[in-house]
Amino acid sequence: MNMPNRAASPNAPALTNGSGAAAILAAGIGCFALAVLACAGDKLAAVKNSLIFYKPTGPLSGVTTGAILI
Amino acid sequence: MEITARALWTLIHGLGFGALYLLACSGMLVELYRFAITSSSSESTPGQERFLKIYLLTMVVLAWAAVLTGAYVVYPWYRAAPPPGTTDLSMFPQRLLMSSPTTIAWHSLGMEWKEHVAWLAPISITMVAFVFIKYGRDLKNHRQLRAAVLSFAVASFVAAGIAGFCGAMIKLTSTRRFRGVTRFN
Repeated sequence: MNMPNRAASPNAPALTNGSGAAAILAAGIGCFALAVLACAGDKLAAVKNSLIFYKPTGPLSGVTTGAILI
Repeated sequence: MEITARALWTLIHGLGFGALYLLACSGMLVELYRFAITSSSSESTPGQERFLKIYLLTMVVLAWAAVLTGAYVVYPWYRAAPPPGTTDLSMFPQRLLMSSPTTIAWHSLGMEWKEHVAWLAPISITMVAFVFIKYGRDLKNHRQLRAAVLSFAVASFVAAGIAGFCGAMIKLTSTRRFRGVTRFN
């Protein structure tokens, strides 16, 4: 993790990169979860049925809601 | 002149939120690059930085509005199953596309992209907006962070661009199939 050290150099970062890295990791995990849920919903009928949160949209509602929540 | 509710919502989803998001992407990429990488970023004022933060937040709203209206308003009409014995599939685009080997790929590939991969756009741009709001001009001091942010911004643009192209082609193809036009002249 980059630590702030303004005294050492005028170009040193004012913030650590922890929260930024966490946001990037969260976006990556969300995208991966979307892929896993979509594939599981396509291959397994039980998963597909459990992903129907809103009937007109079908399993897509569960796939996307699940990915966003994760 | 009249416009149906379906056509209006399709316009709002595609030309309203989707196209506006794609147009905004080019400006976002240029501004992010300018702020995060080029040496001229030191000349940028707090007002310009605030403008880019509002610009990114607007893009986040546009991206989520596009996918949510697509998934919960337009998509149910697309996937609606026709009653048994229905021969006129004009109101059932999914079944219309699946009824011909020349158009089925627009459903199996094009619509699958719109259903799933297009969601990468709002997820990515939300992260980009969060990181830029948090770091601002300090982003140029974090090489790996800015590389990841710019990569996600490009991924968001590509995912939305291909989804937009597929959406336009699906609309065009299903309309032409319904009218009996089998190839472009």
